[in-house]
Amino acid sequence: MHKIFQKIIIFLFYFFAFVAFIALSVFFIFIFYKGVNAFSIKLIFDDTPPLDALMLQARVFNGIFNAIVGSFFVVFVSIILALPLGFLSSIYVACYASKNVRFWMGFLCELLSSMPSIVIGLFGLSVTIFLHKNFFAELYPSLLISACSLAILVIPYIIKMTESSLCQIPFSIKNVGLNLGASKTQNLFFVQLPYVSKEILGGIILATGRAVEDTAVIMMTGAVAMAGIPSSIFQKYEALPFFIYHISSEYSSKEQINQGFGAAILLLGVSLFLFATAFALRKIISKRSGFGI
Amino acid sequence: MEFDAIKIEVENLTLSYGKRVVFENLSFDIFPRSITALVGPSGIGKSSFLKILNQMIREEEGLHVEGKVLLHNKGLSVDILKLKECELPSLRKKVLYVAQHPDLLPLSIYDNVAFGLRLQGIGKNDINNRIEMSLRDVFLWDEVKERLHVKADILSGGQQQRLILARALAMRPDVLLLDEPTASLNEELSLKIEDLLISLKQKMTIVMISHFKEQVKRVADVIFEMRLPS
Repeated sequence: MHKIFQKIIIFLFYFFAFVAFIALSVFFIFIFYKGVNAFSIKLIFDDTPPLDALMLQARVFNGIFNAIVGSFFVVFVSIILALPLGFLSSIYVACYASKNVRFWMGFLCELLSSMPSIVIGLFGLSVTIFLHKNFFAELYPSLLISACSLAILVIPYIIKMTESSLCQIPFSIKNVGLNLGASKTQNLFFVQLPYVSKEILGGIILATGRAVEDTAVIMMTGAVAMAGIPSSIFQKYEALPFFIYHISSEYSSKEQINQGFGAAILLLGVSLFLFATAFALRKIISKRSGFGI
Repeated sequence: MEFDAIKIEVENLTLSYGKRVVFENLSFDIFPRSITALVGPSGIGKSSFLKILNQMIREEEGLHVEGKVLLHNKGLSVDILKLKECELPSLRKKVLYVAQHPDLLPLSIYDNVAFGLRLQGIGKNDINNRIEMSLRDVFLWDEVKERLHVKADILSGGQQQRLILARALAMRPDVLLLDEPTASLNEELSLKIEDLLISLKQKMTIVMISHFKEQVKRVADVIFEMRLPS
């Protein structure tokens, strides 16, 4: 009886793993099939000469080039904003905070990371309206507002990832620098952070991936269709996930929905690129022998 | 803080973990340039006592220390329990704890020994000399001289234990706190390390924990036995 039960359990493990594998494969094959057929230089640049578009000498009207550039900039600015806040506060929480502070920060991060992104988008929009009415009449939803809102979205990921990796350092390694006469700061920079650099990097890249793919936040805070390439962070902009949402909800021809699939495969490509970058950087860090001192 | 021939005076030292008292009212002296051995059953707080002496105990959560631990040096007395956080690095460079289980960094053999020296701002040539000398002292040089730049975790348990002892010796401390320094070594190497300790006491004060009664008798000038409360 016991053996039959064991076999059923093992069968269930295999079965559900197989189902998950099939579901993911179907998803990837579908996106890849649809996207590859639609993917072309024309999808990105339309009829505009690519070189002119890249040099910003001619505007792309019907391609996804503007959305690629917009996505890049909004994610770049959001990571620039989120990284110091998330990284430094996680170091404070992991190394210096009292138990109470650690508990409440952990609780807030869990709460924030489980919050639907549309709520963060709504918050960004509300703050913009408040600032517009009371302080800055020229302030409207824009790339900067989107980047700030995306930063709020990804900060908990950076904090959680960095904090948990710092807390998981084995006790003997965590304090070996202190035992050899290092100050707490030296121990942090020469022992602890190098020891978890791979995990921290992984967290930052995951956060970047999260910022790239989010739609709800940006559609409420500045992303629009046909905005062109923004010339400042205070302008509206186009973004890849918003493009996919927009075209799939308002398409009028097969070509247009195919454009959406083309953009989707590009987003998948960005994820793949981020994953490959993380992998390559981890390899480089692993090969480095020194601990920065 | 400058240390040289240091005398340590322990007065009414009590260690507790929550409501559990690990030991209480310990009072004894550790004399300069001597070997003091701590003996007693497991779990009685011998390792914690060593960690009190260089204040690594502060890095462990939930432990509470009361009493006085006075370091007497050149006419000055310092209660190390009252040292500020910023004064601890100076203390730990001079009063060095060598753990029972090798606490190696995921670095090469060379970098593991060089780490503490670089923290002190010692030049490369001096570092190379000190690394060779300390590895020779612990009879490890001939075994690792061809592979100084390979990861230290490939070494055997006994080699790792000697490596962390070499790392401590390279720092040239005034007080050496040894937590079962020969636990992973064979008899021949244990005897060699014992001889090393006896020669080292000319330069420094040594406090060690050992479960080997014969070893304690051979090397210790003072034996302090910690007992469970009757």
